[in-house]
Amino acid sequence: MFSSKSFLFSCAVSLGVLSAVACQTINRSAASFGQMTGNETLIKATHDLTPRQEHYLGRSILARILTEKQPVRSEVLQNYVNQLGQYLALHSSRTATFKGYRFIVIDDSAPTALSAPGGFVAVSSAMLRLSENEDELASVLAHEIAHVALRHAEQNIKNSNRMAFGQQIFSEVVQAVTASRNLLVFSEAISVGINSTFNKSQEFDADEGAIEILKRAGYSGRALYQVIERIPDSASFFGKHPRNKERMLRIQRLTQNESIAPQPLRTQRYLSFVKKNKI
Amino acid sequence: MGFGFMTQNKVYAVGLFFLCFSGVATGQNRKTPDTSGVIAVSEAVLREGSSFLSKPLFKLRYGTRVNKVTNRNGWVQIRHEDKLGWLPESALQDGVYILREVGRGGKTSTSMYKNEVATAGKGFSPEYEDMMKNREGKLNYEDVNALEKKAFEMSELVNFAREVRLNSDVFK
Repeated sequence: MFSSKSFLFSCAVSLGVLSAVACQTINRSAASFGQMTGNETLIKATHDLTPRQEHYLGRSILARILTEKQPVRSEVLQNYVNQLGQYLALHSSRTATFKGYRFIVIDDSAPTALSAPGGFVAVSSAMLRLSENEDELASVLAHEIAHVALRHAEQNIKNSNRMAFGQQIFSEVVQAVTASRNLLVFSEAISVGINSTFNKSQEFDADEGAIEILKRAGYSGRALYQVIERIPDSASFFGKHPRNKERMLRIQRLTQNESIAPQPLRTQRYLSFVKKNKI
Repeated sequence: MGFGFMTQNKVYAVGLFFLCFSGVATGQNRKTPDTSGVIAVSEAVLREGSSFLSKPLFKLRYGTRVNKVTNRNGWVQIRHEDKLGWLPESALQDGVYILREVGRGGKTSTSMYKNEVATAGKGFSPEYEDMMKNREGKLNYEDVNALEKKAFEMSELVNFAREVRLNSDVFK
């Protein structure tokens, strides 16, 4: 039998030895970690996509969208929308993505906008027609930037039941898989990235994020309310959930002290780019 | 019994010593990830101060390990080798990362994270994009490439804001 004193002593010794061993293990791994150089990529110890993987997933999602919907062939307009988007992104909670944000106007008769991982944002020509001033277009882009910043698409892909994607890519203990199987996973992720709609909570969060971006950038948060008011529920660029009225009520509460009148200089610039390009 | 050769005080003293030692060691291990980070963008521009308009000093590539020095208004100051510079917090990621090859003749890692390392680059990379192109040849990567090539100078964005009197703190 151990006496209480010797038991206490043994526990203390064990703790000390254990911590020393743990320390050595961590130092060893840190040493090999430090030796890694050259052609490297990142993978987080948790189950996230790396920034680089996000970027390439986003590229393929956009490539598939641009296969169906052609970009509007106006360099002047594309530059304008890109500058507006880039300026807004500087005011988001995630100013940097792997290769930066990119914005593109696609030719589509439905008022839509969407974002893909890595910071790719597409907005339709119909959405530009529906927006009446720069603040309204800014609110649409800011909403999409907020989705990117909050990594909503990645969350949806991870939560998708349509594939073993979670086990394949996000698992810490992935078995070696063949290239063709990986390709299938890749293809499936793109499909989910395109087809999944954001849920209610993600939409509310993106609205809130958009209002923050707009305020910091000098635009009116109320513009988001005004543009949603004009979008039919069925054609909502924000997806099917939630209903526009529900969102408008929340936006109203968040922006009740803001001015509604659009700033004339910005409206003039918007009209010169959008209306004169016969969008 | 067992440690009968030691006095009661000695037993407590030695025990206390090991307990303190274990606490210090654990504390050090916890602290390490908090002060190191990894560049999370393709190419990070390190600036003299915590502003997009501050003078660019040097660049660091994706995956470079750096040490964090301090934070300010969404920016972080880092040290790399003997150089100091600022970058946006979102261009840096915390925690334990696994760095390794992307499948173009890279070596095999010997780190304790080899299982995770094996997955790096297998999901979404230029290699898999090439395979996608071969399989679904009509995917429009040309316009994506053209879009990616568009680069905007910060001065253009400053002018973009100022011509319609947008006042933004990020340009101060």
